[in-house]
Amino acid sequence: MTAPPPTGVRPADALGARPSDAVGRRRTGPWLAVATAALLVSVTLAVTVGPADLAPLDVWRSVADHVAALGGTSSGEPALGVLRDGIVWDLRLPRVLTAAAVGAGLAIAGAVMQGLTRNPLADPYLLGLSSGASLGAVAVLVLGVGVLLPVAAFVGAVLAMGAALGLAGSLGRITPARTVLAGLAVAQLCSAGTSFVIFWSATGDSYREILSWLMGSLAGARWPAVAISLGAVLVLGTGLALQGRTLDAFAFGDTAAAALGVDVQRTRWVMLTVVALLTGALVAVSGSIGFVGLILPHGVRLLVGSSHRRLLPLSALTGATFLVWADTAARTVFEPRELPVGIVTAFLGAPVFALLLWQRRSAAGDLA
Amino acid sequence: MSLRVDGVRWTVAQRAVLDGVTATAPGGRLTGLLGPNGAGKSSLLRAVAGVLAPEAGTFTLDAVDLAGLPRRERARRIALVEQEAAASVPLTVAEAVLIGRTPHASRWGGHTTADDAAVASAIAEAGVGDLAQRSLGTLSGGERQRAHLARALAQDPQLLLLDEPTNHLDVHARIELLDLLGRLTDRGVTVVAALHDLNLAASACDHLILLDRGRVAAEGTVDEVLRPEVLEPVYRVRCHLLSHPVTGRPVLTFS
Repeated sequence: MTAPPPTGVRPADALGARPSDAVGRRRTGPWLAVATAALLVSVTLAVTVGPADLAPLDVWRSVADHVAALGGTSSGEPALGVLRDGIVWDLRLPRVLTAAAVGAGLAIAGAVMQGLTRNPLADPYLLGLSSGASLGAVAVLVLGVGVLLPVAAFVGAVLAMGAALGLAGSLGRITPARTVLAGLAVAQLCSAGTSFVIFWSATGDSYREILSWLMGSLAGARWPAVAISLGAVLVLGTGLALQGRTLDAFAFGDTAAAALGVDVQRTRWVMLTVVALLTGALVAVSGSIGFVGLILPHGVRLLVGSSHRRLLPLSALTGATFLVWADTAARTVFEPRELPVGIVTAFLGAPVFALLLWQRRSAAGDLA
Repeated sequence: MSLRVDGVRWTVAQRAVLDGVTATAPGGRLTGLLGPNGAGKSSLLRAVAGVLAPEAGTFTLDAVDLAGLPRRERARRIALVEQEAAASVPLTVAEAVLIGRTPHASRWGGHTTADDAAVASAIAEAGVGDLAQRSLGTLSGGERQRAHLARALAQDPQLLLLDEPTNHLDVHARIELLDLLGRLTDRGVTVVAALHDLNLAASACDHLILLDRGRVAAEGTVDEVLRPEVLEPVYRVRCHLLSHPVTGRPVLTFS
């Protein structure tokens, strides 16, 4: 990315001018406003897409109804009629909101992992966290303790992350390429484990279920899924975004971060654990959806730079919008058949992955 | 703000990288840290900055024991510019300099006006005002070194540590950097720079510390340290001492 040409600001002018101009702070306000508006519009429109004739305003009418009902001022009969209201409130809205929360969370997780590991290819999917979380989730479902689903997904994500980074480290200095290779090994093992557990336990056709864990699916998302994913994103995502400046300090490496007063080891493990917790919560409701954490943060960096206090909120908003539309495509393009949403994100994300590799070909030493 | 290093020992894989280093860097002066490759220069700088924790030894900066300070507090007093610090993500000079404010940042807060003012003055002092909006990756070696220096200055340090700051710089950039360091010491900042170029050390430094295999081989003024009988056993070369025709400072040739 090239910055605008030098503006010819002299040090003396710089001191006199508004400091934010002098230091060239990029403006994020407009981007945040646009991204928020785009997300709201996307959520509204996405709910209307599909069989059943719904207008954007109907979505808000249904929401208003249910909010009124919560407040105890409901008039009884839904304005849209019971059937259409049910489609909006019970089926589509929770699914779209879950897609938004999962997209936001995956984008945050990817951006934080890239910052902490100084690895442009870091992403919860590529490093095996998502597969580990899937395996954990499937294991407790088979054991019949579905209540523990998010916990098991978290444990799976942590173990997979530990295995991937441990393996990468034991191969020598942790480099992006080694980390991705180690992540690949862990992801393949966990995916095979997930498939096997479902195959072994399922009585009928297990393939649909296997696919929805391995490639991700939001087909079953109802309000509990919204609560888990949105809650995780709001609590953990906000916590990570507030640590944005600490994340920035990692830009020049561990030594530089330590010299800036950051407790490097502790910060890294605490934050990676939070990322694993977030990934676990998301995978528990959606299966493993790839590439969201890779595409969005890199795109957003091109717009607003690499400062995490701007990068994380904007990645979250764009990631949410991205997955809302990816899931809308997944459920409508081959109607009435559903495509696992991970197939859509992989079609869009794999070229970005290839582009990142290609961009860094000159810095092959960094990757090897 | 003089720095006192006392009995510092740091061992890696049973090899003493720092083997009881005791030395002083006088306040508001440029101290050159000399020694062949592997003498322990970088390790000593990192130990002072608190990046690595030695097994033994104390560091005192103006009578304050650094070991007793929290990390952030230490980072507000000491800045370190590494030899090759490449950014993992695209950053402009201004963004890189803002990262230097990390130890001053409020725990949860965004950027304060104090941050903005410190960044602006660090950019001005390091002479990178024209480059503020440029991406670090597009800068020349000398420009990048000044940008890193601006980042360190944004920390508002009393002690500035530089690891081989003149490596890969052409003659002009080298002189420019030394001028900048001179202005810093004039306003009271204590500067310690690890240097390979002995003639550069001879022309610019106020005080020298010569390390050899983790020990202090010599310490003192330029005239005390840059003598053939001191340098020859450490660098294992033949060394001839001349006098600079203009400044009268020592000039060394090697064979």
